[in-house]
Amino acid sequence: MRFREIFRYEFAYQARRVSNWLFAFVLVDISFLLTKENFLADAMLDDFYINSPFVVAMVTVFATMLWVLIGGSTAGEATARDVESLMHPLVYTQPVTKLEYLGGRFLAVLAINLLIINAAPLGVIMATFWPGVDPEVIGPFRFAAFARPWLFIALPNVFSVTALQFAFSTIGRRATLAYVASVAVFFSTYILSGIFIGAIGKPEIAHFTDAIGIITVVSDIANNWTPIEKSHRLLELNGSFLLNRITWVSIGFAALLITYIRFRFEHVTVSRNVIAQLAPHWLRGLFRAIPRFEVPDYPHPRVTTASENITPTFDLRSRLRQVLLITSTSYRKITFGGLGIWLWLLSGLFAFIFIPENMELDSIPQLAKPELVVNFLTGPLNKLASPWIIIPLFLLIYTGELVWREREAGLGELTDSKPVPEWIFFLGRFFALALIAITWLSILMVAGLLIQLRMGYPLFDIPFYLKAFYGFQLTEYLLFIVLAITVHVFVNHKYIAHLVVLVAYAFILLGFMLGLEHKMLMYGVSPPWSYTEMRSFGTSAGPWIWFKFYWASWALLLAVIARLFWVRSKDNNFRVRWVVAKGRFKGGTVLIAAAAIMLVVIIGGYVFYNTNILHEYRSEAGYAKRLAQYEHLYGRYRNTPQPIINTFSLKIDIHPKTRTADVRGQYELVNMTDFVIDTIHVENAAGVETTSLKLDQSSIISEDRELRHNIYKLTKPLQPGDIIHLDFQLHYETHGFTVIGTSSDVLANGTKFTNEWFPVIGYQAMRELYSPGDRRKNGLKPRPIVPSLYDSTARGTKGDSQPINVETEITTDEGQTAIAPGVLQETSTKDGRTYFKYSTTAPISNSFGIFSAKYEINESTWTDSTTGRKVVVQVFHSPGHDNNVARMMKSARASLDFYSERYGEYRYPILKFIEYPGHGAGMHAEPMEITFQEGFSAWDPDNDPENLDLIFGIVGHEVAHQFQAPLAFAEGAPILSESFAWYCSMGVVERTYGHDHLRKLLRFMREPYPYQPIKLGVPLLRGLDPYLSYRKGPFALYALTEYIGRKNVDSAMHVFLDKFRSGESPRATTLDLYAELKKVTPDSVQYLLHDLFEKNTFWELETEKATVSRLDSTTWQVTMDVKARKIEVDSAGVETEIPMKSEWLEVGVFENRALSRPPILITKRQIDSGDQTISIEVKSAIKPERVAIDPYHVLIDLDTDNNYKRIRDEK
Amino acid sequence: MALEISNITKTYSNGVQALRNVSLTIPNGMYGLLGPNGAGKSTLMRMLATLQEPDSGSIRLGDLDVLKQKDEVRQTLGYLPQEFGVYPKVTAESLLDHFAILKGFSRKSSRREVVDGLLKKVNLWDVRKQKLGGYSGGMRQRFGVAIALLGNPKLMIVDEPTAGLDPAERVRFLNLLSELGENSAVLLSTHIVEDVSELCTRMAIINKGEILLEAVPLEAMNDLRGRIWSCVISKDQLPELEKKHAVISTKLLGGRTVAHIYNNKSPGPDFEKVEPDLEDVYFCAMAGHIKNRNN
Repeated sequence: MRFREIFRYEFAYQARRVSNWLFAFVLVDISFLLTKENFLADAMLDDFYINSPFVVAMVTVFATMLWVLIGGSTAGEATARDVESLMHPLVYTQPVTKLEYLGGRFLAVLAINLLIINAAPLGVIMATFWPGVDPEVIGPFRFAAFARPWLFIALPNVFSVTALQFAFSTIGRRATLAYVASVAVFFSTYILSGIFIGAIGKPEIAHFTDAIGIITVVSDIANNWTPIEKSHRLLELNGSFLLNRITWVSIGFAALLITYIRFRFEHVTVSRNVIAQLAPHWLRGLFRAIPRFEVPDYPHPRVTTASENITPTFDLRSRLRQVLLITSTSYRKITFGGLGIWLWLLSGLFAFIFIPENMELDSIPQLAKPELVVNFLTGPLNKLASPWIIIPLFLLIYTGELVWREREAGLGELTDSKPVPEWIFFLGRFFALALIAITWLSILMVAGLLIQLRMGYPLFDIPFYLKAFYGFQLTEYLLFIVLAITVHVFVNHKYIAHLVVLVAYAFILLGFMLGLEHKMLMYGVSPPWSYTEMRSFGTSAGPWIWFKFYWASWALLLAVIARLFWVRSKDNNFRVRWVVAKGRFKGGTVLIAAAAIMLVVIIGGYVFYNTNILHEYRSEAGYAKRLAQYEHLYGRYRNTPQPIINTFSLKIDIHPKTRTADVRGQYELVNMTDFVIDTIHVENAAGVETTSLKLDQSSIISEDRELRHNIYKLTKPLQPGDIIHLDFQLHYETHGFTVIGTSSDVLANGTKFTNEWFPVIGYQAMRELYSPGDRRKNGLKPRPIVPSLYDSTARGTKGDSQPINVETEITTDEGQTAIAPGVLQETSTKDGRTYFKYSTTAPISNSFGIFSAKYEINESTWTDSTTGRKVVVQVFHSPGHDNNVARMMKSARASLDFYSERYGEYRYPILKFIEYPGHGAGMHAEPMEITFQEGFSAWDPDNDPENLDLIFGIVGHEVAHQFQAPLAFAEGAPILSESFAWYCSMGVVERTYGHDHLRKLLRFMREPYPYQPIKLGVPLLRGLDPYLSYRKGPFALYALTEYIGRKNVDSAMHVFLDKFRSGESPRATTLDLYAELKKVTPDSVQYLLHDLFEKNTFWELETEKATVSRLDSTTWQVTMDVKARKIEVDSAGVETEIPMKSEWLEVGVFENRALSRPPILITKRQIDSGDQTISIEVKSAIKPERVAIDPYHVLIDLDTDNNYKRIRDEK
Repeated sequence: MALEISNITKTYSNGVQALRNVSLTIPNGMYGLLGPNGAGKSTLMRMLATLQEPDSGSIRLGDLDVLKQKDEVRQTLGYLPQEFGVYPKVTAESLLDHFAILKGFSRKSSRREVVDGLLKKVNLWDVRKQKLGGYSGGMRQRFGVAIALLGNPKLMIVDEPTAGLDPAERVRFLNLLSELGENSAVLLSTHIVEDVSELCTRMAIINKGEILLEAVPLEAMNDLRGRIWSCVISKDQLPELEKKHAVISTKLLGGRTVAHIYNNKSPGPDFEKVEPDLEDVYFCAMAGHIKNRNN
């Protein structure tokens, strides 16, 4: 009965609180927008239902995440408000048991929170019924689609989080502590999990630290489910997801139990700090309470002191002293008054511990270069996936504490009646929060320098550190602080203000998801800055500064609002506050407001002039519309015969100082088709100004400046085999900036641009819209994203492509080296300009780059052992970036040796490796040109504990691309390029470093990052996605070598490549390679070839039990129970078992698990589907300890651990 | 410097009319604002302390418009609110120093003198290094006075300062306040009649947002002389008495009830004439028997 009343009263009380309704409203709103704006867009691309179980689960997870952050006050108020409102003596003395009191209160807030979280499904339902939503993406309403996410996600999440919030606030007797619980949950879910996934590489632990199921739903399901599954499949509670749910529900129960034990109906007479209150009794002695003391009697002497004649002054000095006072007391309160400085130091310590672990790319350690370390330690406000999201969140909490400080201490009226203008109250807090941000950033900066020391890279770039931390990063926080203070002042309700700021922050973070695209619409957002050693800030600082100036003007206006609405009165009625604000709007405030508005208009106008007038601004939808228009207008010329480029002549002048470039070019076009051509379609490039374009013997009949598609009519039609010339001139110069910054093609150092600057001939099918939703919206017929493997037109038609020759004359400033395709013919320097002439002596594809920078050149000559031809290998790298040059050279030479022996001649006279600015570590190959970013030079393989020479492998991969045949743009193309290249690289790694090193490479490739295994999918022959191209393809080819020998596979490849190398149509598909592979595969292994390429096959091999008995002193009888299964998984995720019939597989017997020790025995056995027992007799002085089926994972098996089993003794 | 309050009206957004057309003139010296709980005293006090806005009316302090020139008023204002808290982990000395800076004492040496002087004045000198969390109610109240006294205010607003003080502490506290009236206007609001009778040279009685009486306490008591009668009755006789006579107050004394009756002449032989005290003035005003002489 009493329990029921406690529950009823609490429920009714909470139901009347405005903030609870606000939480629900915000969550409905966000869920609705997420469904309608974001998932709808996704749904259009992928074509799954927006009311599907998957979308409901996604929205539920995001809604709980947001609720965790904003909804803490509900549970926080449950018991702590009794203490905070001093009602507790009345409540605690009622004849109520602890269980009734705590249980009733907890269940009431749990019920309220569960009602609030219903906002998520409600938002989805609203979006489903919203007018104008494409009916094709709305599926049938299914109760289970909503019920399961509610039961599996919402209910456990809300239970465990509410329990933690309740525990913190009840034991600590302060409502705000609920938010500390929220932050802890957020930290565990977001940051700890991130660390486990990223830095430590143990995603299975992250499944436990994730309190709300975000990893299961967002990373596992979103990546692994097919569109059909996303539409239909229901969420299942099993595996790691089940464990995760059990863990967190248990944590919830544990928190409640501890609360029950620790809570007492007692009046706390001594005030201790939070830590003291949470500490167990026996530790409380450490925290001294404030002593009470006796006052001496009060004879009341009449004291008149000289001090009565001292009068206060109200000059500037006093005002500054007041600002300083508020700044220093506020700063000290936050820094030393609670977690404060300890938290910041802890974050620095975390950074110091975990960043070095994380300073690796593709599991190869990186040098602790300042730019990389700073990258880890900073991030713009709107960067979602950054652990430093905690800084603005804490600044927000601090803002709330400081704005409410006097009022909460009961000193509000005493303070507010003092002669202190509002702007001093504002500025004092602003400076205090700024100092807090500076302190925190300084701690991180020191952590950064210490990381460099710890990692043995003491080349500090102090000016860069200072700029990055106190210039770029601090500005982000200062803008946020002004927003937070202003909202807190204006809203004048602590929790609602937190909520408003968090929602505003969510918009800053997720605005792009919700359709807010223009950066002038999202407070504080700007194009990002970036820094690399080669180009320093490049063009990134300018636009950043202008945008931040623009936002600083808004911040000034916000500050004026804060000053006008600063609360000094007990009247919180808005009408009164408005009157007061009007009364304050005078004198200097008017001037500052006017100045702020002028700045917003002037700087905003300038930014807008840059982003929308000087440059064209288009939203995503506007951009899609234009592409659709392109297809509508010119799609009919898709198959119109066009001449193709035969020879390129380029005269390029690069001016690094002014960041401009001029190009004069000539194409020699040739009609390689069987048709007479009378019109030629020429498209100019975006991003450069094509100042003149002249086509021989022609007149322009259609000019389209917006879509850049121009049609020329030839006065004399072009007969098959005839040649015609196209002359053009380009000018590159940046004018101001766009919403994404300034183009950085030409830089003071590190210029890189590609043939995309130059005009192209014919309709460009690559420009077409491909997302099904966008196509539908714009009235276009559906098209496959990539043509089918069996679409013969994808192989091209006669005369639609051929290799080209490029002649380049290029000048740049003295001191820089300009690079163009081919071999350097001559170079000279005159009047501060250097001239280079390059020529491709063997034809290349129409895809190449032009570079200019200060380069150091490392060069060697490689000789083809069969033909005796010499090839120059060059590495152009930025001075100082020579860390990996020797490895690159070594790999390039070894690769050329191996590939030219196995796959055919290297056809070019030169092979260039060229570095250009950027943090990326990938390489990109074009004929005789391999480019890489500075991240590649930052790799520090010497520190790799695995001692895997991945750089050798990657370079081997890129050199292999030089040997590949021209491909049809169709399904399976990445298998012919990327899988082929990794397969080749495996060969050269094995030849150079031996088989064990190859196994290391394979082990690296089996890691789930960066390419997570995806079980469902298409057969390899039609493979497109990165897992199939970069991982499964190479594994399949490698498996084949183990069965039929590498030489046989290589010879099939050689035959295949020779057939297609010429570059003329028809171009190669995976079917052509597959045909050659079939020829070299004996009948007995054809099944395997079929499984590997024609089906999406996985093996599931497991050793279930192993025993050993000793036959004599050195002979052992090993028996192993093996379970084998082979399945085919289609792209909808449906698994079909394929019977295994006497497949030859390796089995191994080992001394122990360490593969470094040679095995006792590796032998082959025939394996069938299902359970079977294998007996092996081995000779060994040492007792066998482990056995394995397929010990080296030749076959594709996603769970490799269970192949091994420890041997038990035979009894 | 006199405080002129003219025609102040205030209605809260929930419809409660806190002040109705209040006008008062408050000269230098102690001025008592007497009224029951909820009479509108605190609302009026906060308006004078620049912390609340009236709907209409004006308030002037000498040449200053209190409603418009808030910052100037705050420079000469001392305000002790009815309820206030302290930072429990801060010492009296440092928090007073904090407020001294807010009050405009920017020079360290002179501020030190001011702070020390005030701590001595309110007799907290010996405990100035103690944390405020350990202060008793009376000490805390004295500390509040020290804050209010910063900068020798010309106008002191003291809202219900004696509520919750023990009798001895209350006496000490009133002594302290009495010194202040010597060269500034001190407005003291209270619901305790003795506070006013012991301290104030002028007073006003307020109820339900209206000023019922504005008077000099001694004169008001004189004016009542001969009109207050008392009788001792048992509790059950009271309803009958109330029917016949204007009972202004009743008090229990040794188990019997002592009733005071307002009447211009003797109501009968059972009644004894009493010398009116301020409490009688208060109850007469509350019952509407006497009104402001100005009205």
